[in-house]
Amino acid sequence: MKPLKLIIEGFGPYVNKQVIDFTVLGNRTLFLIHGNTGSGKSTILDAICFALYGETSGNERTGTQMRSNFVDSSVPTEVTLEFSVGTESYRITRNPAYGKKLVGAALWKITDFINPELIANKKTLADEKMITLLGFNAETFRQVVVLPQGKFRELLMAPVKERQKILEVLFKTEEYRVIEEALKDAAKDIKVKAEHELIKKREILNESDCSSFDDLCFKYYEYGKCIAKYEVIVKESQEKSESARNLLERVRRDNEKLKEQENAEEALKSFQHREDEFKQKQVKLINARKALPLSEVEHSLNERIKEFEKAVKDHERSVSELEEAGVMKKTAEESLNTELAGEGERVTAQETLSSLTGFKEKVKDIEITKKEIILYETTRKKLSEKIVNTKVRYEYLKNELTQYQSELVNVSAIASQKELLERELATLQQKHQQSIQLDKLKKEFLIAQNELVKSQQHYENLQLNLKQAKEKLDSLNALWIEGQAAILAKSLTAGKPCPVCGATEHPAPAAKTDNIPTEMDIKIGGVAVDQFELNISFTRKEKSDIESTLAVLRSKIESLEISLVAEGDTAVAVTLAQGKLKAAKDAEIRLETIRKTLNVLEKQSTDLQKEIESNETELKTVIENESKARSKAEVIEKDVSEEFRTENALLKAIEQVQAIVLKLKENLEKARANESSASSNFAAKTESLKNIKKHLQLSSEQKETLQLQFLTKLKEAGFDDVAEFQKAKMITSGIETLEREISDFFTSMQTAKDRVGRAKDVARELSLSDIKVFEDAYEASRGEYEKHLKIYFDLKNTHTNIGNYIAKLEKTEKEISSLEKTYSNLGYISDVANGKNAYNITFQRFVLASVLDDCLLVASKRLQVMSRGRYTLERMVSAKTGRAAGGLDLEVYDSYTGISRQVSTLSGGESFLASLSMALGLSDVVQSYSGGIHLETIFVDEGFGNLDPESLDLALKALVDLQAAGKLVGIISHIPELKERIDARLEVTFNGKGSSTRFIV
Amino acid sequence: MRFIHTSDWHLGRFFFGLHLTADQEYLLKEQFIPLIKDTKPNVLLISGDLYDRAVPPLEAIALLDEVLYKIIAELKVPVVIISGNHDSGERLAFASRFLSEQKLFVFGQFNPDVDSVTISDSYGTINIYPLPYTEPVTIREAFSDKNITDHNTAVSEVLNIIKLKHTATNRAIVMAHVFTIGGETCESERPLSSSSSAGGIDTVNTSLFNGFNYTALGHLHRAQTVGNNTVRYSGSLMKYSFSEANHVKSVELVDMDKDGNCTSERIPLTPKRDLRQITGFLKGILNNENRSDDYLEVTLLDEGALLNPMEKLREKYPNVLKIERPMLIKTDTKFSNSLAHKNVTKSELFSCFFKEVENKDLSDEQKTVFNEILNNINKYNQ
Repeated sequence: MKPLKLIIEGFGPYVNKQVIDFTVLGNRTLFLIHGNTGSGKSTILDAICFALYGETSGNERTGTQMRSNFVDSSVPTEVTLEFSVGTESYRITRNPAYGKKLVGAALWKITDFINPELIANKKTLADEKMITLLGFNAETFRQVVVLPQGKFRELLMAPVKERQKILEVLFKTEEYRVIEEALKDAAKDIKVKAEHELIKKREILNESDCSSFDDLCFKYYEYGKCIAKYEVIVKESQEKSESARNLLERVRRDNEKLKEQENAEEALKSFQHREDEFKQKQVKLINARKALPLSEVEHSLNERIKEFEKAVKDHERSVSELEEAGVMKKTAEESLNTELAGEGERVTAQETLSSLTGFKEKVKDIEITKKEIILYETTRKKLSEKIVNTKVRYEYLKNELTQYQSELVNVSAIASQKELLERELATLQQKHQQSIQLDKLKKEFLIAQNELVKSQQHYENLQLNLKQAKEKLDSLNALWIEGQAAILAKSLTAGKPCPVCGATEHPAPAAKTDNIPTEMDIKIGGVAVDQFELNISFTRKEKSDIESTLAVLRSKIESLEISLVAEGDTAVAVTLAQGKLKAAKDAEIRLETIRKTLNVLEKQSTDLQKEIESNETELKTVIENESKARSKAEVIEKDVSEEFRTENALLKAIEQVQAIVLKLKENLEKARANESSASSNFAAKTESLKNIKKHLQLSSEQKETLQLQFLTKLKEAGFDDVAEFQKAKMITSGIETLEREISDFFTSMQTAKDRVGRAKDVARELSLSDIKVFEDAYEASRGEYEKHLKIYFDLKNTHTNIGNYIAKLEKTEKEISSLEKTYSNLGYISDVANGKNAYNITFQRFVLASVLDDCLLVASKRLQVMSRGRYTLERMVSAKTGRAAGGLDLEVYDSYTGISRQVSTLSGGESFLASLSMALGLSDVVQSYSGGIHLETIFVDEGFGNLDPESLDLALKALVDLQAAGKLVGIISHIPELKERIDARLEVTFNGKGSSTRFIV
Repeated sequence: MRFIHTSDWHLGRFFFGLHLTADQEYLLKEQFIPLIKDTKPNVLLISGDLYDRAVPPLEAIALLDEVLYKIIAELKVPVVIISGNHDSGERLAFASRFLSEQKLFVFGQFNPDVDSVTISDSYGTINIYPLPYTEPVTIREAFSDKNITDHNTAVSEVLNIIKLKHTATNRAIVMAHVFTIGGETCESERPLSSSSSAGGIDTVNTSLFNGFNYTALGHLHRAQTVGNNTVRYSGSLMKYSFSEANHVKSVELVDMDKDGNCTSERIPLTPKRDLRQITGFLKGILNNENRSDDYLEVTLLDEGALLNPMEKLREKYPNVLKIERPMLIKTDTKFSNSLAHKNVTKSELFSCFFKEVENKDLSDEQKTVFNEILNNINKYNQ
């Protein structure tokens, strides 16, 4: 099995579809699967194992567990493997059960890549097929093709039974086991058969009531002797009985002879009694013979008489017929005459017929014309009706028209006012607006007045304020000046000139008053004054504004008032005017519609008029036609008489006349025919009567002659009269029987006579004897004889039985001995083959052992290299463990110590090397066995980490050498050393969301 | 000009579980460095496989460091190194640009523009062209030439380019780490491409090296000349496998004259512990030979089982590494294992089985009985 392409999806850490194409390797057959821990290296092996068998390589994870947890539920978990076995390629696809999906599998055979052939599409079927294809099941696969992580030691450490199983599968040693079984069964068979034979032997001995074969023989001999003795006795008694019987026989015969004689005489007597009777019969016979020829003549005479009578009858009949014919003829003639007389009638009938036919045409015309007339009438009526209707409509229409026209006039009058009304309305509205405006203005005026008043007040207030403020300021100023003076006065010193006046003496310096305003105060006061003044001016301005506004308003109001003199309530007027205007507008619209209707109506009326005209003209023509037709009809009617005016009546009449004519003709014909036939009939009948008369004559003559003949003959024969003759008549067959009877009787009488004669001769000298005595004697002797015979036969039976028993017994003995002989061989062989031998090894085990030896040889070679010459693998041979279970245990021979020891004592790295060499050895040997399985691949999952660098080197060397054999070797390892040593690599990387693979070659 | 050509030091190698670093140290320090001191070459050429592994053990690195220092700094001899198939070229060539200024020329990666080291002597210049071990794939991709599929074509392509670039008046030495046709291999050489099948693809024609004054090759562990007299393998530093037990380990001391003609001398190296093979009976070996620390492979001619031979031998020879037992018939099992019952019929097989198990032959009657059963089974199967 060599994998070609592996497609994984949703399996383990592989989320996306991964395609691993092993064919990329080309002819490189050693490659490394490399990647970080947990990236998915072993998963690839799991996938291959799963694809093939539905189980994973370590058998620790189930298919369901392999479903990747990284995928969402839309991605399926599926593994497809394309692989080759020998020269054929296959593809298998599997998916485990997960979620709602059931487990599934499909297997195809790939003959060409375009259409693979589906071999199996269910899991169970696919599994079976895989096992037959590959030749081994998942267990073996795990031990031999894939060395799984941590589990590679299994093959080495496996208990014997399991190793045996694996080897059995690989090397197909099943057949040896079958041989073992067959041997065992055959031996058992023989044993059973032998038992049967023994039982048979015992049965025979029981039946024969002997204890042994010899006893039986002795009995046989004894019986033989007895039999001989009895034979003699039997013979003697037989002779005796024979003689008694003979005697008895003779006596019997004599008695019979005598009896015979008696019987014969009696028979003869009976015959003699009947002799007379038969003599009479003879006479009768003679007479009958005489009468024979005469009967013929009689017969013919009778015939002639019959003929004569018939002729008479005919004659009579013929006469009567003739009479009848005569009558008929007369009647026929009479009728004919009558018919001929009625000729005139015929002629008239014919004439009527012809005239009537002449009318046919005319009548037709009449009919047509009548039809026309009717048609014209109806049309006329319709037309006139129509005209009337139309006229009515027309009137109606005209009325409407006038109505509308009058309305039109009204409406247009109203409509024409529209413009006027519009203008009025406009002016009214304007006036209305003006009044509104006037009101507004008045209001404003009032407001302005108010304001003026207010502002006036304000102005006065302000004036007041200003005055106050001015006063204050003045006071302040005065104070200040005084103050200044005080200040100045303070700074006055005597002797210094006063800054104001320059005096040097200061007698009365201004005293400081308390409330000297500061400059600030003065300023403030000034400011206030200014403010007020400003306000006043402002207010003044305001006031003047308001006054001006007032003036304007006043003027406006005045003007408006003038124009609105006595307008009254403009609003009402406006609404009125609006109403009127609306009416005028409506009227306009109405006018339009009226106009339109008027047009339509006018059109209609003209149409109607036209219609009326046309109808009237039509009517005229129709009336004309009608009158024409009527006149035509009248003309024609003149010709045709009343009752024939209709076609039907005419036809009927014609028919009638025709019928009459026909009938007349017929009658004439008939009468003619009758007459002719009747006359011919009459003639024929006269003719026949003549013939019959002649015939009658003849016949009577013949009768007479024959009668005479008969009578003469009768006399000649000796009969007196006819009656006698009748009596003597007898038919021919009767004569014959009578003859026979007579002769028989006489012959039998004769025989009886002879018999009597004979019997007399025979019984001449005999006399009757008593038979009983002889009979008794015979009986006695016979009884004795039979007794003896019975005894003899009994003896003989027993003797033969014994003989049979002896024969059977002999046969059985022979059988037993031969079976024993066979068993001795077969049983021996069977025992040996099934393990009952010095080494407790069964045949199959032996074969397996030798196979295992071969494997171990190859494995040891490799192991030697890998362990630097130290270890070899061997098979344990001690037969301590009983029951044919030995022979397949493994042990390792350590050349350093010279002793073999258990395989389990090897270290981790050493056991890895041992397992590797074991697997390699197995696969090598399997290949070379005929019918072997193709192990073209081997995968090693980790384990190289257990090795030191030198051993790693050696192990790798061993694997590299494998390539030469064309094996595909896949190594899974994370050791970087290997990465450098092996150039074909499959990199597996895990990128957080899933793993991906890539071949680097 | 005088130079020393050596290769395949395999520092850090394990041998049967033992570190050989101590022995290598002995060789390098006690023999090789004195040799250099004595012979005073102009340059030292090491043609690859300096380390045994891509990531060598620390002692090996320390050793190399010390040795190179001694040679370059103390003895003032420039050293040209190329990487081999055991080394990791990239790792080896770390800081090579700096190192080259100090006369340690390390070439670990393939350079499509040819590298060269120039040495001048009194007669002119000598170009040394180093070709570190490269996979053909790399060369193919560098030249984008699809015809380069194996080592032969790769090397020939590279050499052609070198030849083109070389100034004809100068003398030329090529260093390469290849496996030439006609070379003799031994156990301890790792095949060049792990993907190559046995033989053929990884070999190189010796004719490619025609035209160079000297070709300093590395990879094969036996010192040998291939083809031309000037194409030589210097051999490994010491014996690395028992198949080399009869090799003589040496380095090449080459003198090149003004015309490029080379005369070379092999200078042998004696390691502290030799690697050799002993054959004999256990008793004899134990009695006769003197105690020795050499690495030994002992072939015992005794038939039958021996008790603890390794222990006994190691008393005398503590470095016995391997015991061969060619006489040991593995049929102290009762069953001959060359049955080859693939070609044997079942009844013959059974007779064999019978004989083995019961120690007597199958009688004719028994044979017939067996055959009958066999026939029945076959009939039943059909």
